[in-house]
Amino acid sequence: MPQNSDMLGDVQMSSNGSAANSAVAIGARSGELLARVAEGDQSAFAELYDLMASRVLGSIRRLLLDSAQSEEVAQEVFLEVWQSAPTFDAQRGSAAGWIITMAKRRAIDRIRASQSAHDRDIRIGTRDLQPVDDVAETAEIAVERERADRAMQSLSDVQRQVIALAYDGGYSHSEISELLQVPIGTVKTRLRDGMIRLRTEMGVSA
Amino acid sequence: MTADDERAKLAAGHALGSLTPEEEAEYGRYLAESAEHRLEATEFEQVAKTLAFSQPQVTPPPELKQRLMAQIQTMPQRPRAGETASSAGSPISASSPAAERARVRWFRRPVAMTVAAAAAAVVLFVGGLALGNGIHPATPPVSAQSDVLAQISAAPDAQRASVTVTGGGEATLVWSPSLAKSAVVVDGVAQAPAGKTYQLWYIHDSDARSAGLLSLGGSRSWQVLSGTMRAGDAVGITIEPAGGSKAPTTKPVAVFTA
Repeated sequence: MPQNSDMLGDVQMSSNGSAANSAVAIGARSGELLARVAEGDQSAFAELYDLMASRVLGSIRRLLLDSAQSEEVAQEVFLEVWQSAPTFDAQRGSAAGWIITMAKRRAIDRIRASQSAHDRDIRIGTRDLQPVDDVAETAEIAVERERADRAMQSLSDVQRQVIALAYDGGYSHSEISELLQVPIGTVKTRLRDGMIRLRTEMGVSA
Repeated sequence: MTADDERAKLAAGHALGSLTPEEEAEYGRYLAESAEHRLEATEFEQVAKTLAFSQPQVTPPPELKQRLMAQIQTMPQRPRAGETASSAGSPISASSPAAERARVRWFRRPVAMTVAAAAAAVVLFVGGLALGNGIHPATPPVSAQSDVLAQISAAPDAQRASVTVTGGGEATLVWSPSLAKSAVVVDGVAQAPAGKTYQLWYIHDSDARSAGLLSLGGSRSWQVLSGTMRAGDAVGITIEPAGGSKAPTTKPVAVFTA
């Protein structure tokens, strides 16, 4: 089978209608499937993968940039889903949220690991990851989601990465600077330019 | 670059919630100085609110799913949290027949069947199998095998059954009647004795046809059976002389009925 690395760069933008439908379905469906995976059901695992894989890889890719590394991390995430499904506690949140949070955490772990040789004093894990919003999806939320995704897609890779690290990881300027091994001034400029671009793309006016 | 330029760069971090306390204090002073500064802060906060909805999607290559489906074949799952403790209210951890069933994973499921064997290790599965065409069909490339294994495991009618292998270890047959395909996963099974090989068989009544030789890559390995599977058939593993046999030369010593 030919390796198609370009495929990884394609962000799937769905229409408003299908975004709403799929978003509504994901919350409940992921929970049902994970419960079956917890019983060793491989068909359910395959279905859960189909449901979540593009979101898992999307969340990782935003933080890691590198497509091969992102794919490796996505593989680790799904193996952990398989292994840890029996330990998932539905009272703590949705299955989809659990999986996406795991993906972000592992992506940040991977950045950290690649930089640990440079700087072992980096302050990490001082904040929890932003919780994934688990509220029931409505069509309005799906429209907001698409607006946010489209705006994020307009950013350069490095702008998107620093915004994701600040937002998903809650990392400070100096922490991001250490994680990415770029000057702090560059981090601040990327963040600011990114936010200005997002403001324009989202059509935000106070 | 002016001091204001530098302080304006705190606006993004403020909206995203990633400023240090010192930076927040400095940005607070900056905001107090002008309505224009405050307007930008409000707009950036709006951006951050919308960002909360973002859920990026990137399509993975098909190989990723294939690798995963192959990997989980032999990967055990962790025990349920609070397996013995009751945690009422949680649909997953609640004590229920489903939870009870889950305590025994398919790959740990003992199969009640012991027909004593003499020397040869023979495992027979009954499930629904069919005939391979050649006597010793060529083994497909591993990548193609993993595709087939993923297809079998992901099939809606996928079934699996495990048996203890005489001589030690466990063997699991995964099959899909709709795909007419099956794969065997072995765990902890010793290599065949010198000059011998494991051989897979489709068995229907007294008719046995080779489904290929089974070479063990390690203590855990798997192989897709050659040929197709037909309802009412069985699968067996025998030890045969190197190169395989045209028909089993040892008698089945264990039988599993799905």
